[in-house]
Amino acid sequence: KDADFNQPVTIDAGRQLVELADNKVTFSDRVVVKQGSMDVRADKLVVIRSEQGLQSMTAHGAPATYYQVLNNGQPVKAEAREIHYDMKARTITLLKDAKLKQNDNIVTGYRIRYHIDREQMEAESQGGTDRVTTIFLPEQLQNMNDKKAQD
Amino acid sequence: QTTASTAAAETPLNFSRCFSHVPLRVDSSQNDPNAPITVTAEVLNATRDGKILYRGDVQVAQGARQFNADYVELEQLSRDVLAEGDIHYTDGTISVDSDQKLTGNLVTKRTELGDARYQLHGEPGRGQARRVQLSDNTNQVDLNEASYTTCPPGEEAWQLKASSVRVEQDEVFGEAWNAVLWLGEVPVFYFPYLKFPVKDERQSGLLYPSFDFGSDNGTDIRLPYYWNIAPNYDATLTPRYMAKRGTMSQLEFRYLPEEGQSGTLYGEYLSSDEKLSETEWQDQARWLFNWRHNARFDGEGHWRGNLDYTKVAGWDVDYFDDFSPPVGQLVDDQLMQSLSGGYYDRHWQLTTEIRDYQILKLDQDTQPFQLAPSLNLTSYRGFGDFDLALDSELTQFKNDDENVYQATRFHAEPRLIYAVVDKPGAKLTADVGAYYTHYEQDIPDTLSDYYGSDGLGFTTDTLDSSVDRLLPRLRLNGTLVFDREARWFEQDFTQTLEPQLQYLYVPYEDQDNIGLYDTTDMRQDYYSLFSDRRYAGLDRISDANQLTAGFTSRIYDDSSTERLRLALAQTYNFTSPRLSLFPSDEASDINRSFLTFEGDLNVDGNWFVHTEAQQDTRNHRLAAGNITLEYNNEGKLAQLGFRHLNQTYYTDASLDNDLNQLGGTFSWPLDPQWRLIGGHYRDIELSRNIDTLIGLRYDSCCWAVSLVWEQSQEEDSLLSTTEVQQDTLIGLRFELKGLSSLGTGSSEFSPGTSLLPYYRPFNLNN
Amino acid sequence: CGFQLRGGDNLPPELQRLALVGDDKTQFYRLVSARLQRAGVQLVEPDALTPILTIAPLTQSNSVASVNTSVEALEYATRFSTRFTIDIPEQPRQVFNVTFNRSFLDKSEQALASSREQQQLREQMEIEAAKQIIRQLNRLSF
Repeated sequence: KDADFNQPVTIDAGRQLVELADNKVTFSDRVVVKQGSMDVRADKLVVIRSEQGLQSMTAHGAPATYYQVLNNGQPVKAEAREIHYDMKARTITLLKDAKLKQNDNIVTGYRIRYHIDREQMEAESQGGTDRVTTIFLPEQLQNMNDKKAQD
Repeated sequence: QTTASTAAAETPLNFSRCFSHVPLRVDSSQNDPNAPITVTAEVLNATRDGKILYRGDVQVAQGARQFNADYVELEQLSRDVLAEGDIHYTDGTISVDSDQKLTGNLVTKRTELGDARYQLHGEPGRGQARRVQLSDNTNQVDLNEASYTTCPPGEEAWQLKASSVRVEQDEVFGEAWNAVLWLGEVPVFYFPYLKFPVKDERQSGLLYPSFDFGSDNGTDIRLPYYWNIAPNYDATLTPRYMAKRGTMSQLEFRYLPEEGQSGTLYGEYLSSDEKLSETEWQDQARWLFNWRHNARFDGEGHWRGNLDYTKVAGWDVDYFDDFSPPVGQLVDDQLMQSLSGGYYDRHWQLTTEIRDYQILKLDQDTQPFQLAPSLNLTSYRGFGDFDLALDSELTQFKNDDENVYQATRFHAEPRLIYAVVDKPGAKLTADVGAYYTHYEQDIPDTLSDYYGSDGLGFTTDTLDSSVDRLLPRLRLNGTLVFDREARWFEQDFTQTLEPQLQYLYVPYEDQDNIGLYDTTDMRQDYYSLFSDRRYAGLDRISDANQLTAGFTSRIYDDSSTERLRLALAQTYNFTSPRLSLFPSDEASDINRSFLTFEGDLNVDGNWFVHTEAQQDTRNHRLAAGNITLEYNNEGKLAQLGFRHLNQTYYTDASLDNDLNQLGGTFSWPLDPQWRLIGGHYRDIELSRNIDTLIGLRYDSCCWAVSLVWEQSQEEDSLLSTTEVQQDTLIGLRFELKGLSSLGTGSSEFSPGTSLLPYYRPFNLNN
Repeated sequence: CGFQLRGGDNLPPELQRLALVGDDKTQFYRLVSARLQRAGVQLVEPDALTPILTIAPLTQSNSVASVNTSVEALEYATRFSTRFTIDIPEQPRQVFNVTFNRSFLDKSEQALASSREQQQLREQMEIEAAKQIIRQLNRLSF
């Protein structure tokens, strides 16, 4: 939700490596990142900072997972081998074995990019292998429509 | 998909692979409406307003329905979908390819494709269409500016091009509106509306377009127009153009107003027959009317009714030979006109019937008797060791010929059947009963020749106006069953020996004072010798003091199929029956019946033999006999038969000499596409060919052509005097498989001839 | 030469209790049920445990077998056939065909009598078909 972005970001991990010269901090060993409703878990997390604050976060895992509740109250879950969260561009990019689950619509593919403000998503396969797949489960299609109808 | 069809065009498709291009049909009922929708693609873009764009070999699948395209737009909320570029759609019942556009909705399942090629599943029907519309689960397919054919791709021998075609998967028929039939590149026929079979189950009774060249009627074209008036009412109007006779119109109206009531009204009308122009019936109309109705008035089936009425113009005795109307078979040259009904219960039934006949013979000696009406009470009830039965009827016989007697007859026949012994090896039953009959006859002043003194021998004074007849009957029937296991040709068989002995006693009573209304003699065979009545009907109950001995032997194979059945029987009269059928028929003092023999053999499931014989043992003469040999194996059929009747024993059949009829028929596949049929029956006694037929048929994937030549003896009583002449009929037939049978008359391409059809005379059970 | 009188009961033990299914208001049904009762069978309403014998009315079809001197039908062959099935719980359905051929002469002068003859042939064959059903059931082994 928008409210998440002005919540404090807490990161805890087994080990932490700070490289001040590159403004880069690398967390590893069961990393958990929380910011409001957002919850990211990974084996390794690389955080790039700048004068204006956090630039981007890149989580690596087998897979790394991402969870957040959107403005419409629907949770979105994602996982991929690499999750890149660009704060400035406000986009989340899932790379390799990417999977995005939103109100039971499942999208899989090689790369999935999600623009948070524009609520727009792009997904690509990597030339034939692991093609992009969306699955719409009908049951909550109805209740989603009903919910929409109530708004 | 398209490349495959062009390749096939060069090398003609092997016949066995006619339908290799037709995908299997997936039963659409399993399409669970809320199966998940899966979309796969190279690239996906989801936008804010809920629209998702897929690109790159996109595949959309929901249960058995799926389609591929280059580009797909899916509206998440409304489930509307738009696809473009190299589209291939299938839902298990139809496949549609289009390189233009697909629009539709995944929830309502309504889908529309432009400029598409379609192929039905499980049926050969396919073609092109400018627009293909598939609607909900009724899997109804609507095609605009479409073509339809059942020929394999690249071999379009025929096509139907129509402004609109509708095919419903579960219906047997598709419909086409202003359609043109093309043979190859040539437009042949225009139909404003045409209903054609999509499924190949041939609807019995439904008329199909047929197109003949016959020497009898000349070019003979029938184009039925099928009209589906309402869910349970439909009609078929068929103009039938006959070059040598004129244009006849045929109307068939089928109705099923409610549960338990169904029927068919059928009529044919030819204003005048050019072939009869020089005869006295020159400007007479030739027509036929037929009405069949079957009724169950209540759920349990207690109250039932039945109507079966057929009538042609009074003078028109050759109607059936000339037009062979589809209203059942003509037996004894008589058209039955019957209305019957009654109350049916578990152990008894009370029925009534009004029946008349129209006889299709020119110079009839007598008019038929009518049931005006008859009332029947029949009951039968088993109580374990004994059964009680009652057959009774009250009948009023009327006759249009006023020189013939009429009567009201009451008859009651109670009987008790007691099973003295009922073991698998031995059965003894006693059957005790009585016939009581009362007649009220009204006798004309003079009798017609047929019944009078020089006919059957009745005279007005020997016939009594009121008669009572009471005759008891005793019958004792015993059978023994012996069996043994046997092993022949390395197979296990069970052979049975079943001797049967029956004693029948009925006292004599003179019955020449009773007219003949529904009574005639029956042929003597194994079963009739063991029955308790020598004559059919109730006006003559023959006296009997006789012993019938019979002997049956059967051989069953290890799957308890009857492979051989032999039956031998003869009746010994302690006192020869004094009753004769009619006064001028002198009672014969024979003390033995024919020796009847029947034999049936199933050699190996392919070869069959049947033979019958009735031997007059006193004069050592064969009264009647026949033998039939048949080979019947997977579409290969050949049957040879010989029939003999000795004239002296069959005086009332108009036999001027013995019958010695030899003939046979065959239907033989020369190769998967060519089939030869033939039939030849010859009367050896008159050394005259009765009927000869030879036919050849070529079958391609979606069409067939057959040529049938038949030469038969024909007695055309309208045109010529009654002498018989040879008549040759040539029938050319085109059949567009799946659209129609444009062909020779009503007869399918099957063995047998028009005068003597093919039938299987084998009495083997299971 | 190995023949002995057939022993045992009329019907195998599995068929002593039987449900007879068919148009139960016709003469053929009455004849078959009387024969079954005579063979000692207890007839019950159909349920999942008892074997079910399903019978169908006899169908008749006539064909011209020979023609006389003026090429009119002389002999008709008439074929009576029916089919009955036995459903024993947990066993595949067994189907049996019954076929009898009789013949009668063309009598266009006596239409009513000829119809009566065909009706009488039918009545005789219904009795024979009922006997054949019992004979066939007797041969069944489980």
